[in-house]
Amino acid sequence: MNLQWLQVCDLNKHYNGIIALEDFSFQLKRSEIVGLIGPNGAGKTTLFNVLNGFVPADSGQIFFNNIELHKKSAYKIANLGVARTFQDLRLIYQISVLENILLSFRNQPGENLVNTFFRSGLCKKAEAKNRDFACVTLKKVNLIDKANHLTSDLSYGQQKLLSLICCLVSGAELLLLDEPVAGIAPEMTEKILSIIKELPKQNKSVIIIEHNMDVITQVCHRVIFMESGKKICEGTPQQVHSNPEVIESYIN
Amino acid sequence: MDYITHILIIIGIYVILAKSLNLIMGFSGLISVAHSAFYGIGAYVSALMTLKYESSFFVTLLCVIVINSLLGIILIIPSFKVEKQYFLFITFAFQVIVFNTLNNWIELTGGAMGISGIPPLVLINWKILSRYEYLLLIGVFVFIICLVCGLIVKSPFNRVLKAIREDEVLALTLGKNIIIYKMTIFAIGSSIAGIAGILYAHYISFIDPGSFTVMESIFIISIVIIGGAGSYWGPVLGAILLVLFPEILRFIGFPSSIAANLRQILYGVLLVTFIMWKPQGLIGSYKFFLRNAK
Repeated sequence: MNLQWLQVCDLNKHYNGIIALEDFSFQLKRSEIVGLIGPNGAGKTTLFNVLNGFVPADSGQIFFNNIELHKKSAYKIANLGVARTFQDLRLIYQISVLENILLSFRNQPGENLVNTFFRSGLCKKAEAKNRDFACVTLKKVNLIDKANHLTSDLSYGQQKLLSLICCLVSGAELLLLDEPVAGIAPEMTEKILSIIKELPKQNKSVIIIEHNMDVITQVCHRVIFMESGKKICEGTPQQVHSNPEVIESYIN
Repeated sequence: MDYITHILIIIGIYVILAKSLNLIMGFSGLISVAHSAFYGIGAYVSALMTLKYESSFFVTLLCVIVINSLLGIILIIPSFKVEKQYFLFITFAFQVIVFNTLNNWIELTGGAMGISGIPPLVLINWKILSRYEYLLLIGVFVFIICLVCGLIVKSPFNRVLKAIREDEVLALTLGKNIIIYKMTIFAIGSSIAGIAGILYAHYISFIDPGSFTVMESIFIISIVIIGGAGSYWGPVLGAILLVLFPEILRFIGFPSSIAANLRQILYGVLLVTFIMWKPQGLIGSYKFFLRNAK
């Protein structure tokens, strides 16, 4: 079988008889942005939870970079290069903005205590490098003056931006973004969308859940419409937008 | 002078205990009422090994570290299945098991009568007899343990623990193996409590199960919370204040029978007051009982 970069085959997931995913298959190429739309309860977030290992699928397979993700634990999947944000926005609020970013780097030598005690030089070097990179990134998005503030002091929009930045610095190649611009001011939306649009140039792929069709049309190469755990249609934003089933569902 | 030296030694022991519980509680956010069990295991293992096998200090130290690390790792395993609040009950069960073992395994531990005549510590050729020498030894241990804790506090390892104490789901999403982190910190915290046990047993030269009850655990928790959970100097300040506190009561002139009871009541009131109005403690910044304060 010729596997795509991300290949999802026949995923099924039921919660006590309620269908969350039914024979759901799709593929994703490198440097592609795919939008995932559909009504509430269509199974979009469940799909994310299955992809990043929080919820095991009842059946089906997921291949990422030729590695089977199915039944791997969440932290292992993250270390393979899959990052995600959450609809309800998860950050560590009682530490600083900078620390949140530093936390997101993968494979830090200092996170192993043996290295901390016996190879402190190595740890300090890696930490300094990460810190520089984090500061450069914060400068780019104009958050550098907030670097040492508590994360809980940021505005909602800034927090959404920060959670996206955290995904970026982790070096993940696949980003799962759950409503990255819902409920925030227009300028911040612009800023976040411009960052997302740049991602394919850095060889990163994105799956994005979003309700706002304007956003989808702006950033996505391809859109998947799902309802009751099934893929109803797939195509360019324009094609999906003019699909009668989609129109009907959105009017209802 | 002897009195002041004694108080300083006791403060030193509680600084070690509070520092080690702070590693567990302040860093990983798990509340454990089993800390005095680990303290007790350290004391009993050291007392028995020295009395029965005349083993040297470093052998006992190594044994206590190994035993407490293993027990700590075993104790942490259920925390992967249950919510943080219920983990408290598991540590409570562990505490009760250890206390009852110490209290009832009479052939080994002497039961409620305890073990007396524990010889003083001997470090290679240095037999530690006087209180001043003990104070020096405990000072050295406090220094080393503060150094170790300092290294951990500043390390990226601690950053991950902070993430785990606030949001385990996010920590997993970031690719952190939270099982390893919790096991490591619990093993280290328990081992250090064991070291405090060794120092206590040989200093007092008599131990009984009554010194290692759940009340003792709650006393150590009070020190950590009142001082400031998760902060570096918080447990030190807490230990100094709470050890001195009953001594002050004594000087005010309460008869000892009333002072002892009053002490318990005041500790309880203090603990609740801090949890409600100053959850970050005197010099901490982490609001221990407020989750995800946005």
